[in-house]
Amino acid sequence: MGGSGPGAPPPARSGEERPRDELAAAPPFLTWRAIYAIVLGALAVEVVVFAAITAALR
Amino acid sequence: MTALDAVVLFGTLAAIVGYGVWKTRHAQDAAAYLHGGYADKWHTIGLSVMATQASAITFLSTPGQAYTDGMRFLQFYFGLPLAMVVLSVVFIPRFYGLRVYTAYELLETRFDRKTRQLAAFLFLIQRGLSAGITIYAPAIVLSTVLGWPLQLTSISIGALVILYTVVGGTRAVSQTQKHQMVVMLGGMAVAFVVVVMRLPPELPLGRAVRLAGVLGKMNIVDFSARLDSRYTFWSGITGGFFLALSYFGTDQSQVQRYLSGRTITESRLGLLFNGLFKIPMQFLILLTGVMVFVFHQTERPPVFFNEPALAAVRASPRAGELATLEASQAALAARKQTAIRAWSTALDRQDQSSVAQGEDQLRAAEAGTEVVRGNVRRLVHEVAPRAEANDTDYVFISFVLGHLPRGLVGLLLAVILCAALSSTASELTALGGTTVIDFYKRSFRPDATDAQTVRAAKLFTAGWGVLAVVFAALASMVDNLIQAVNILGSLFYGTILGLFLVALFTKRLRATPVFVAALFSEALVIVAWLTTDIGFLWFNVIGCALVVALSWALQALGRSARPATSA
Repeated sequence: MGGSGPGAPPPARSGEERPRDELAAAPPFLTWRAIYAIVLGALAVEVVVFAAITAALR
Repeated sequence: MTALDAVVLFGTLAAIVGYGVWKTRHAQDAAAYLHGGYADKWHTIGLSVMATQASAITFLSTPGQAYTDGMRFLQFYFGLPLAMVVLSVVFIPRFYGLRVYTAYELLETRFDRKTRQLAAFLFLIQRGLSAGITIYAPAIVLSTVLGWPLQLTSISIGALVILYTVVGGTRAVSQTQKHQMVVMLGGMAVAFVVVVMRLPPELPLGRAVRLAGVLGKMNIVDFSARLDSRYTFWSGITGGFFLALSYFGTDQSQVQRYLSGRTITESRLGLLFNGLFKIPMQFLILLTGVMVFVFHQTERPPVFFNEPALAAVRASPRAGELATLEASQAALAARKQTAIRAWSTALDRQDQSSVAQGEDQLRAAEAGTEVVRGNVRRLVHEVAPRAEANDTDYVFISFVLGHLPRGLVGLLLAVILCAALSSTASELTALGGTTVIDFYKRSFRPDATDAQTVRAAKLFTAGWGVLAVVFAALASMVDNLIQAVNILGSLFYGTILGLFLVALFTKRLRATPVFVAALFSEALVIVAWLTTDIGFLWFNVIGCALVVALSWALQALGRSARPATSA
């Protein structure tokens, strides 16, 4: 493996060894924006529900 | 523990170790040993990331944390989904673009070798210490169950983990983690159902939750802006965000999990899966702890959950003091049980004044119980200074051993032990891999062959395992295991994250000011931790902000000093 394997100085510029289309690949379902919105939306709903539970059971 | 439980426990243990050895019986090259051959799908990554974070500590300490401190620990995870999104958008494309083996390689492309190795060094310190606590946690379980000496148990578990990890490498770890995580979640769900089923008829689930609220355990969200409070919404959403960003973005034990993805899409989806399901999972674990608390309002709990420590007090000349405290606790428990029945009847009758009166009585009895528990803790500490004076980590395991049906005890113990083996193996693999990639191959043996690299990785992994066992022997000095791990992480993660943020988001900063800023920041964080009462989550923010601010300041100072020097 020598100096080109793990541990060697990494390449100076990003994106040299991975095809550009892979870095911009679409998810197998929905869009990235929709998936991010679901994750963050779930967090918002959880905080609201937990705050309501805390207030109701104090 | 019954014979059936022993068969389940040791059978599972043997199967896991055997599977790991069998799976990696063929010689592996460095890429396969360190990164598992880049073959994982998103669901494997997601479960593997969750399994790495959810070690035995999660199952031992978290329910006990809820028992003593309520649900507010959940806020610690509020920043995690945000961090998963940022990692998917910013970090993962950079890691993939560079095809790095460790996260720290990225820092060399932007700055220089010393900055990369500083971050790797900080990771090795904190993760090496944490690995010791990860081994210590299951040692408590087995020493309690089997009566083995705690230290001997730590060494035995450590030796098993070292064997499994050194032979298996990353590939066997990720192969087993997916199934283990499903079993872990199933086991906790079963424990939750059992504790709810064991509640008396006058306390169905809804009323049990209300009772927990009356006694201050349903304190899930706290919007107050107190810096000295460990868990608030604000510390969770900011400190928790920075901690999660740092843990998942710069801790090699996690980075290696999602860099094993088949494609960048699989890695991103794996992390987002974690962002979606982590909070519900922690909610379930904490709620199980709260239900154990409610259960013990109707069935008298031990005055102190660490039975061996209690036995030491009983055998001492101060046994009489303990007997007095136990009598006080029994009287308070009886008063609580009477108050609960009256409160429940008042609720059925919708008699609001009696409900309020019952709640006042319950709160007063609970306050008295807390005073008694505090006195018992002090007594244990005075009589047996080397025993754990905090019994939080023993709460859940005491319930499992005392109240779960035969067979299920062995299964739950096996789940806890498998989780410990799995997460420790993940840690040791990352420690060994980082030592090899960022130090051995980078600075000492750049021309090492593939076989030499694998050999060195195995050697360093074993070395870190031995160190972890040594640290495990010291872990009993910390009062709560999961908090100890998180405090340790928070002391180092802020600085490491600061390095990554200036690498990813700035273009003009140079290597040396950043390197010096990181050294200063780490020193300041440790001094602040030793000398102030700031909640530990804030150190993630403080360390990170210090690196960014000091880097710019030092660079500006260097610029203004340069003309004077040259003149």
